[in-house]
Amino acid sequence: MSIRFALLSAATLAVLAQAAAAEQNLSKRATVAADATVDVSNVQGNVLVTAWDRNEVELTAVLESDKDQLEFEATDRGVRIKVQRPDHHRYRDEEDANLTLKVPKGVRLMIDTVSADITVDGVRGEQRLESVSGTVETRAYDQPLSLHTVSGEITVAGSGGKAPLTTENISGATIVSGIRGAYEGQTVSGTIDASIAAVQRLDVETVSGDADIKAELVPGARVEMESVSGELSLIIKPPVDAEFDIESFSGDIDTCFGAQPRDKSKYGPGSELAFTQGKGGSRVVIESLSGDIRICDR
Amino acid sequence: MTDLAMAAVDADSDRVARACRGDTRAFEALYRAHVWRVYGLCLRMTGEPATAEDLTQDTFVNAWRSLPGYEGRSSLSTWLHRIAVNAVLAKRRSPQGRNEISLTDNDGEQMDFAAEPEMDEATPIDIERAISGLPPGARDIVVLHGIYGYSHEEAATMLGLAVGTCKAQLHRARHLMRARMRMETMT
Amino acid sequence: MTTLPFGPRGREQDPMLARAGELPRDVAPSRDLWPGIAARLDETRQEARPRSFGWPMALAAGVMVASVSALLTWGLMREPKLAPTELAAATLPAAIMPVSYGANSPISTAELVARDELLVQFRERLDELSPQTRDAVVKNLAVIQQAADEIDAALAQDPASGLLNQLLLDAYKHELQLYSKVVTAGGDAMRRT
Repeated sequence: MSIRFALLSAATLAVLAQAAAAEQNLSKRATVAADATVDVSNVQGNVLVTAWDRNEVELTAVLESDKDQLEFEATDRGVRIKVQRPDHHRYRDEEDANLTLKVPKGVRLMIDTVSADITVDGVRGEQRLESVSGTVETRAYDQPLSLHTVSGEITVAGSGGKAPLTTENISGATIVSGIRGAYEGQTVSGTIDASIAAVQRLDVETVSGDADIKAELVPGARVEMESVSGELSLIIKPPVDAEFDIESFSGDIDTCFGAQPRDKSKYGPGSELAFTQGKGGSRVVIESLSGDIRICDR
Repeated sequence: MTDLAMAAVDADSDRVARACRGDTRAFEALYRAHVWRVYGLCLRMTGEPATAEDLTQDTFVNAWRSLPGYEGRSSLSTWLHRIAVNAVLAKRRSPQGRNEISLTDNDGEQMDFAAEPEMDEATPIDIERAISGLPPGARDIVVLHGIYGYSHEEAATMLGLAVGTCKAQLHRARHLMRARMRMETMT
Repeated sequence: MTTLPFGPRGREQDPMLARAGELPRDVAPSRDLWPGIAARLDETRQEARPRSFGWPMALAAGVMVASVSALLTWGLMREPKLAPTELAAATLPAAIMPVSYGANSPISTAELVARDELLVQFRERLDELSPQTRDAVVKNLAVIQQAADEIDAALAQDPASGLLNQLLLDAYKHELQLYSKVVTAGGDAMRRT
């Protein structure tokens, strides 16, 4: 049992599938607190979560395999849902397990999947969404979001709220829009495209993937971007009041602010560019090995 | 590969495995087996026996540190040469190294033979002297490609250069060496 | 001037290079260099970080390993421990090798040992992934290896570069994160039944 639920000792419902039916259509419902924790794990298929104004969790599950087992454990403080697939070779199976949930909008949501896609909409509480190869798509509000996949894509459409956002994947595109405040994104070969308003803290790292960031900085904002061979582009919404510190070992540095990069040393490659634009106040640090760097205000 | 070479590779593998576990005796055996070839490379790249000895020591100390990462994808000899080349290049880039072993102007075209390093009087006027008189960039590729037989791709990787740059350096080296040899025969 | 082809064949055909190729490859130093090396090996063993590149980065490296370990611990707490026999049986597919950081790396042997502990879990978990995901992991490990190689080559030219040392450290961090992500990804969904 997950340790998060080790202390939950109230009623437990375990729904075990009967082997006869090829497809299982199941539904469960539980009354929970408005800020309860909803913990979902699935192997393959999808997990679709939407929020409603009731203090209830409603689950509709379609399990295409008659061997899958659905676990549903509920207390007023939380619900734990898990699809168990006993077959050791479960990842070669083609049968999906599709979970559709309606949850109170203030719940804390934690979802783990293997190859199942995760789609969340309307959940205002903290979200921690993880998948191995499935896609992760959600809407951000004001509570923290932490989204992780190995090879899946990540899409976050904000609502203008101040949710601190963390995304991490190995490959696959990350697309972020409509969030404010703080964003931390990491990938190895995936791309990161992000548009962020009122940035206080922005931290983007890639190894070979390109990052294309559009940002509006508040006074005192701190922006750091780093890549080995990926191209880094930062477009800052005017007015721009920031100190820039840009360095690349062998990539080109291109800016529309007028300052020109200079060679680091006459003995080797490498160029750097340090300048203050406007009144300063914010700080932008961008570094690469061979990836080109571009900064502009349009 | 000859039986003898196969046996040498097997012996290296065993010593590497033992050295990875902290066996300095095994590592000393590796040193004894490879030091002449490493020193030969360092000497040719620097032209300075004392500097070459220091760099040879650096090479083996660095190899000891990096040994757990040695995956046998290349021969141990090649792997040691890579480390040696890195040590030489690092030394050359250091302020101290620029004073010590910047033998000639690396810009090439303005190379002034009168400014070349003092040669050991005992060294015969030969190809070795012609190589040591080359500017560093051209000398590196002649040493790696000409003497030690690495391909342009291998040499370029070791030197952190584009293959085209290596070829251009070799072209330049041959031109300069011919000029050098002609001067030697005229005097 | 005649134009000669490049490459080994060119080497044989160019008289100058052919003569260079006849030079002895082995040259004996004037003294035995081993005592000096042996003394430095002892120093290396006593140092926590043999090629320290400053305490801020050393601290960063320590924090990095600790945080990845914490993440790993968190992930493992969420599922049953693997039986020792399962751990022993875990084998890394031949094509998958940990990243090699080259001669100019500031990453110490001690840190690589910490990585190897993570690798044991990684190997076990990798086998459970779908072929597509495993491919993605392998390809991205290769991406990190290529990045490490490029940074190492750059470090050979500029070993004191703070940028390059930082990039290499971050490449190492990405490698650790890749392993820990494979180990913890899927969480309960990957739990053995």
